[in-house]
Amino acid sequence: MSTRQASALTVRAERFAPRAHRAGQVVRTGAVLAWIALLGMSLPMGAGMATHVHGSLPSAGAVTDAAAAASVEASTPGWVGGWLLMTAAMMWPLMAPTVDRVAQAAYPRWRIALAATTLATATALWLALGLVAALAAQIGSVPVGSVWWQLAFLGVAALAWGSARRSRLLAKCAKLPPIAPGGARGLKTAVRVGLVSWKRCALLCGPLMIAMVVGHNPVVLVAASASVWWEAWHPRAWRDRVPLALILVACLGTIAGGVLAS
Amino acid sequence: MRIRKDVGGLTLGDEAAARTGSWDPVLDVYARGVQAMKDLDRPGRRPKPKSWKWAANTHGIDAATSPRPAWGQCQHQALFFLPWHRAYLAWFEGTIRELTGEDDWALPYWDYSDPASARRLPVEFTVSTRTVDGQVVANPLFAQNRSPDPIPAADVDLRPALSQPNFVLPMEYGFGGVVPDQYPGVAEQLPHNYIHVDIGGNAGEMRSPATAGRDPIFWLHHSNIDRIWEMWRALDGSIELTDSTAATGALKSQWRSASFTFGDERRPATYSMDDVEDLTTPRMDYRYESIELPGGIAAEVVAERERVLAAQGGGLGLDEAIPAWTPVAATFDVASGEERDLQLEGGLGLDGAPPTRLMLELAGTTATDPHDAYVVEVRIAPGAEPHVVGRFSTFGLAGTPDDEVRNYLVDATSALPALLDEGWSGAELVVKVVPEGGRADSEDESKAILINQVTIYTQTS
Repeated sequence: MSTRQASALTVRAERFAPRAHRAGQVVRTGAVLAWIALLGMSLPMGAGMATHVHGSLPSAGAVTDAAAAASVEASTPGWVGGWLLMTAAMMWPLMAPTVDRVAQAAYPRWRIALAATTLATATALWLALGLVAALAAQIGSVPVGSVWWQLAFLGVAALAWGSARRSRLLAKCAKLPPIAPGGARGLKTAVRVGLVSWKRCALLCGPLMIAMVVGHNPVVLVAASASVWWEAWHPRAWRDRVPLALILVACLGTIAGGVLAS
Repeated sequence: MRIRKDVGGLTLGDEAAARTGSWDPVLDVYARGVQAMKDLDRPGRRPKPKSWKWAANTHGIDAATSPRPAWGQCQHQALFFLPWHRAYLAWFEGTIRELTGEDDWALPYWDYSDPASARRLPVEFTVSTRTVDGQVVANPLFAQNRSPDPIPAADVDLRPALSQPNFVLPMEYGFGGVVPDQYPGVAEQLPHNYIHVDIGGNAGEMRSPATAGRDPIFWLHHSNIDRIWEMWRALDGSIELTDSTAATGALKSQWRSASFTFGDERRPATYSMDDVEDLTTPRMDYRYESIELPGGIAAEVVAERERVLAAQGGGLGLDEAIPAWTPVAATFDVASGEERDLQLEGGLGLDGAPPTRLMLELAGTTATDPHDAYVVEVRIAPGAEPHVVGRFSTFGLAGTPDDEVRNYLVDATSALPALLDEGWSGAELVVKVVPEGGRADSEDESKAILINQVTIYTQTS
């Protein structure tokens, strides 16, 4: 391909990008801001191995001896805020193409409403899943930052990695139901799209997310995020080992975090 | 390198000769291989990875078959339709070679678009018995319930597919698919889908993706579809997915990293996209006897491709802005035969800048027993003159699972001048989907499809 052709392709790519693509950009920007907030909360603890925890600790930071003894408290605003930040950081980048699709399928005056509805639906469902898991941890008196809890769910994610059925589901991720372009039906279908997208994401990435319900350190968060994003870009790569390697990094991060905290 | 040959040059051409005479070695090996695969299937026993049932189930399974991870993989309504089926054929071809010991054997193709073709099944597939070593035996290439009729000429037309130089386009059919990736490409629609329903008839296995792989002609049909992909790639100006600006970086990454697996789930045969895209790789290692365009359409295909490429701005969209598709109207739960008057959102303002293109999306289409094919009509108002703007085959539509509903796009741009001449106000447009006339099931009123959503999109310069 000549330089002229290549530059022309770039020009054309920009022209292909309709205004609706801004919806996805907004979502990605939100994810970046969530990352800045999450990592900012971790930095004061130093050494990159600090443990970010939700709610039951006075601040987002390393698990102290006292905190480690405390069990997860799912109902606190701090836990909810931390979980939502993590959902935005990890999952919104995966939702951005879906949000774009919804915006493209909407009448111009309905783009924001429908796109926001889809994103809000998926985010609310992640919150619900997180709350259920955190309540289970609370009932089981699982301590904040529990290494065993994290390793158990990371282990589930690692075991599920080789599943042929999971591979098939990955390849279906981009298929969406019809999206009505506006009105009450538009809102209803936007909710449905959010639900369908979340359901697939929860099946594929749920164990990694639940692992972090009790708290986690930045290494775990980064490795788990990289794992799910890699899969989104390589969904048809049969038993691609990169996501598994990243899950193993998260396991090592969990163990190292636990050792440092103790 | 092995050569996939046109079955038209291998067939005996006469049913009596096919029953009693010697077959061409390519078809003889195919029959022996199919029989060997069928022999691996034992009633009541789990299919083996090299068996006929396993190969067919890899494509699709019916409701009575328990699913397995390696089964029901077929890629339809997807950008991966062509590469997945290429890998699938290569795996199948390898099984036939292994079971027959014929290492040089290559799957033939059925060129029903050849002007010299009678558009009928080769006789080796239509006789129920054949003679081997003086013994009359069951013909493994025969299948029940196929349609005996010749394939309609319109259903083997290669012009729409080969005239489209883009592999993928946003919200309109490219040769291989559409972005977003939930529509067929042109080649998948025509001839692929039409051939399936034409051969399948009312109750044949070819009619449904769940059973199509059980019919031995399926593999020659797909060999020809694969050949059409090679014909397209050999044409000047064809824009591959990885070179297309319609494809996002994520989609290109998905394409490049895709791999396809078949057979034993513990030790599957795996084909990478690099294997699949290049026929000279050891995993493919074949070429087609001919990838020349049929003489009758070559000039027309070349001219149409030049027109499309010029409209894109000198071949790669250099100069012309390409507006986005904008939805302007939608209606819901439309049954075939039902006329719907769609009010366009805010009107199109035809006095200012009338739309330059018009596209209809039929999303979430379902059916239990559809007609073979439908056409889409538009008119400016109820009772006005109808304009047929497109057609689609219903292969894969019957009994489609909820999460695999079918979506179709119909480019209605060709009707725009007539609509404007008739004084179209731009405030409404009437849409109707009706069974295609002239087909065996056209008048059967018990058949219908239901479309969850019909959306009208426009482009305006």
